[in-house]
Amino acid sequence: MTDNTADKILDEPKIFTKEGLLEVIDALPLAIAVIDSNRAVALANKSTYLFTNKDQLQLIGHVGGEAFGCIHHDDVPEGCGFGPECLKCKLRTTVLTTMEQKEPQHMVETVMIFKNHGERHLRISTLPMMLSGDEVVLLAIEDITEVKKYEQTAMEKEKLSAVIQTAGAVCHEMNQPLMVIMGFAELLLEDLPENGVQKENAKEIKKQVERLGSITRKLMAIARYKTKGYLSAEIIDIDAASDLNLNESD
Amino acid sequence: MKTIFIDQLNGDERILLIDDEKPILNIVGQVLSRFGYKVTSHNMSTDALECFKKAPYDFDLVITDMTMPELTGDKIVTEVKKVRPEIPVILCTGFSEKIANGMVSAVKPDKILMKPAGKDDLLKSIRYLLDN
Repeated sequence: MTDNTADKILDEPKIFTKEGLLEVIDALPLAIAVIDSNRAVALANKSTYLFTNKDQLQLIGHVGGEAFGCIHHDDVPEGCGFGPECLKCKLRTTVLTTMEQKEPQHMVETVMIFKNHGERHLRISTLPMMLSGDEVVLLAIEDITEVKKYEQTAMEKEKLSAVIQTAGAVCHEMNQPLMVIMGFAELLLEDLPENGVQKENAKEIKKQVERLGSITRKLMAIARYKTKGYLSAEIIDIDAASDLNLNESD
Repeated sequence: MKTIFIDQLNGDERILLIDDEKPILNIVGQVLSRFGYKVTSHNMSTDALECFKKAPYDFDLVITDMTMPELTGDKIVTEVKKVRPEIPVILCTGFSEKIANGMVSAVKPDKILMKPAGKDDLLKSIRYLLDN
């Protein structure tokens, strides 16, 4: 026989009093708020006031998007939850899912744009619970914008060093045969009679080698990671990535 | 930047040419010979240095590649200048001038030439170094 008591307790929504819960969440460094069944903020900890830069009057009782300062709250007269962008709002769907399925949601990442601090990358977690007899959702919001920025910079730095190494090796290997072709084209130019089609052909060979030479020079001067779309893929944007401008080098 | 106009491309001086790639020796050798220079070519940098040390006054200018398996161009520059500090040396490189500059040791070459270099660049650099 198996004892399901522990599982049953976990399945039950957590029961807290407002005062007790506030004491716990006020001690935590994350922005934590309680959202009621009307999607309004019922309780908010100190970190939430700091994060939103609002006081109790501006937060408590207000619907999520309005309380947190989402730019889409003003999109439609009905406010948060009714605009076209609201259908895509992960904060809204995560809270609704928690409420409907009575299941906690972990580490959902999303990007939101706020009136007072612009675009922020958020990581949200939720927990369904009972608060003073009401079914509510405990919502924790972590602002990971700086972490994401740092990760992005670190990744681009790593990619850049690989690009520079590859470009350096390719250029070095290509400049050798280019020098040889250039030399032979120039000797041909010296030997061929003026005004002949062959002289024009040799001139064109030289011109194209010079063109390749300017490309390898630009590749050598790659200083930043920049890509551009190419068919369905992404390729390095040599002009944008290089410190060397073709017009300057000419 | 100072612009110097050099019309003369030919000369009759003696040049020691060092590059581990035979096609480069072939074409640069042909160009230099055609413009009157007496060229001694080496594709092994150690042999080239030995040749220079045996008779340093048999040459008026040295052209060396940067990347070579035995002795790299920057070391050739240092060794050559140890024997004859006044002899002009041109260092050819397939890397950017910035990288090449960072790679050269305390003794700098008189000129760094970026590959692919055309004959005019090469010949003008030679005349500039020999005439100044």
